Amino acid sequence: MAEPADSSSTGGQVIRLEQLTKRFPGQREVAVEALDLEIPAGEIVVLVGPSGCGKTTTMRMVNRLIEPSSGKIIIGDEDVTRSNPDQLRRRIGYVIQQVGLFPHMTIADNIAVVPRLLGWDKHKISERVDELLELVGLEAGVYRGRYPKALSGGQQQRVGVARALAVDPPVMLMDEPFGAIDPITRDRLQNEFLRLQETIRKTIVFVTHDIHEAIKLGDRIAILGKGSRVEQYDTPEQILAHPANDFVADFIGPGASVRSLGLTRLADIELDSVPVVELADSVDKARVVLARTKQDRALIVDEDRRPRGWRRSTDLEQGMSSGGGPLAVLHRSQTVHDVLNELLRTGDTLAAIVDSDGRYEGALRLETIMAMTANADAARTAAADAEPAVLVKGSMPT
Amino acid sequence: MTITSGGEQAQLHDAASTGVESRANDRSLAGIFLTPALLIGALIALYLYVHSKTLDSIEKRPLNRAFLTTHFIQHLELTGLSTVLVILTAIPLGILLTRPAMRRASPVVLAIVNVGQAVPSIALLVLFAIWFNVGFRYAIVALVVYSFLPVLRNTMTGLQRVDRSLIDAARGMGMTKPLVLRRVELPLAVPVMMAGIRTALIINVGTATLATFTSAGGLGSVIDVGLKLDRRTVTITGAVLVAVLALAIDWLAGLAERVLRPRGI
Repeated sequence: MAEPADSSSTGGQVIRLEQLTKRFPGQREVAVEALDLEIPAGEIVVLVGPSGCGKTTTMRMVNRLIEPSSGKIIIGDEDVTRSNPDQLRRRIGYVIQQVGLFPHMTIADNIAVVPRLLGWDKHKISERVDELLELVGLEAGVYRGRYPKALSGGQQQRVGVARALAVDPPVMLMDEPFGAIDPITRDRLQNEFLRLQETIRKTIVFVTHDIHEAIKLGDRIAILGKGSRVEQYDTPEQILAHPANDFVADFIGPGASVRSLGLTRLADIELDSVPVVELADSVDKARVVLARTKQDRALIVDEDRRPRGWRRSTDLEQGMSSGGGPLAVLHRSQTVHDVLNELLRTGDTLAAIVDSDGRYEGALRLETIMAMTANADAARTAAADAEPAVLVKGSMPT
Repeated sequence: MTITSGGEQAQLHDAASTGVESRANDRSLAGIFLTPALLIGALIALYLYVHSKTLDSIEKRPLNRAFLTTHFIQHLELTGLSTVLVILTAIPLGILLTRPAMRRASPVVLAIVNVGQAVPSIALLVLFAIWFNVGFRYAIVALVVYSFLPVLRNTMTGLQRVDRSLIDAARGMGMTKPLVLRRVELPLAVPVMMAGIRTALIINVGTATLATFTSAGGLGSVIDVGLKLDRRTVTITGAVLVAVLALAIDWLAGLAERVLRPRGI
């Protein structure tokens, strides 16, 4: 049942919940009522909603820690509603807010729990433990033999994630995994988690009550109301741009247009272009370029095309190499929100965007960013038929 | 987190760095050897005291190796056997009563067991002797009843105190219920359970002294002979031997607690 622990991990499997219902004995109201939800393979789907909405109950029904009263759970092509729950859970990663590392076991033994349940041989387990520790950013040699209490909260949850990934399950359930961690560490863990997910591509059901976390982490967000009723199920961009109803609008709160900038990666938008001159080029050449492009300034790059500074036609007299004010340089993986921040910090209106080697790729003007939010309505209309990834959205919720 | 006797706090916080850990162990090592040293001292003092006396023929009957050894071994048997029986019965019952299906029965069972402990030990011994018979076997039953509660209660407390999220994590990873009990709940409950067993041992070693009144032997007989024949040397010998045995057993139990506590908690 478990995949071998070679370094290439198995991707996710689709999860389908069909008419899933949970009625707790002795309670009048239904905890989860006839929920239909499809969680696409390899995506992070965040279940978010006010406390008591049934989001945790829903998640816990996927690995049947809570047995559904009726309905079906399908993972991949397999209906697991009636299969052996212990066997089922061994192939579903499980991460909880309290982490739940066993204090009497070393870090290595904690991670090895499920591999041992599945009867892996010692050598393979030990290799896998080291591999996972490195994967979550903990040095295996240092942490393998330690006990959980010797680790900080953030480190413990790293181990929690490693433990959940031990047998490379296609599906992971995460119940507010970063909820008990201080804000700074939480932010770092979230970023690392996103980076990790890019390589492991698991199907992840993530429960939180924090809409900011949902927007940051989710490929899709299911906003749940009472009885786990799906108020809206869509990408964060779409939810911010078009809240389906008042419940959703209230839940996401104000400031949606600025927040949506934080979802727009520079890699996904069309960048502005600016004239580029090499450091080695002559002042005359720079002047010609500026005149031809009718722009007021040019970007100076070095021989590796790394941005070095701006040059206006007016200060070209001073030569090519002297400085021309602060330079906002951002990486393609950053967001429009980051650009906005950087521009506010440097007091500039234009930022240079570079690729992973630091080479010039394009630029982004403040006007362009403003146009993104201002023209959001128009963009939104166009958005409906286009690929979500290339869209720039940022309208005020209507 | 766990009920422990004093002096073991250092162990609770065993630091990641081995240097700190070994220093803490060194400190408690001195404590470990202090008790046996004092006990051996007490025995030597007793030996010298008895030898300084000229014993008459009445005193010589109980104060000889054969008599003392027999009763000492009887005492150990009473204590050991009753404690083993308590462990074999109270721990499984404690486990059973903390399972969800049986949880509702636990107040009733605890109330019944509590009666066993509330009745004075001598009364319990005598009552058992009247109900059943005198002799070793029934004294054991009385001891088991009398020391049942601490083991049962500590087993239950130890298991109930295990963090629910650990059980949730264990179940969520696909451990079966018996496996969760064996690999998570019981190891984590060990310190509290051991404290209960230690209490039971101490109760049994003390109460076994009274077993002489139901013809079950033990060191109580030595004291009893001394009192009946009005020979202080004999009474003192019996009393000191019981005291030394009780302290020695407590010391051993403390050592066992330390050794059996899982690392990391």
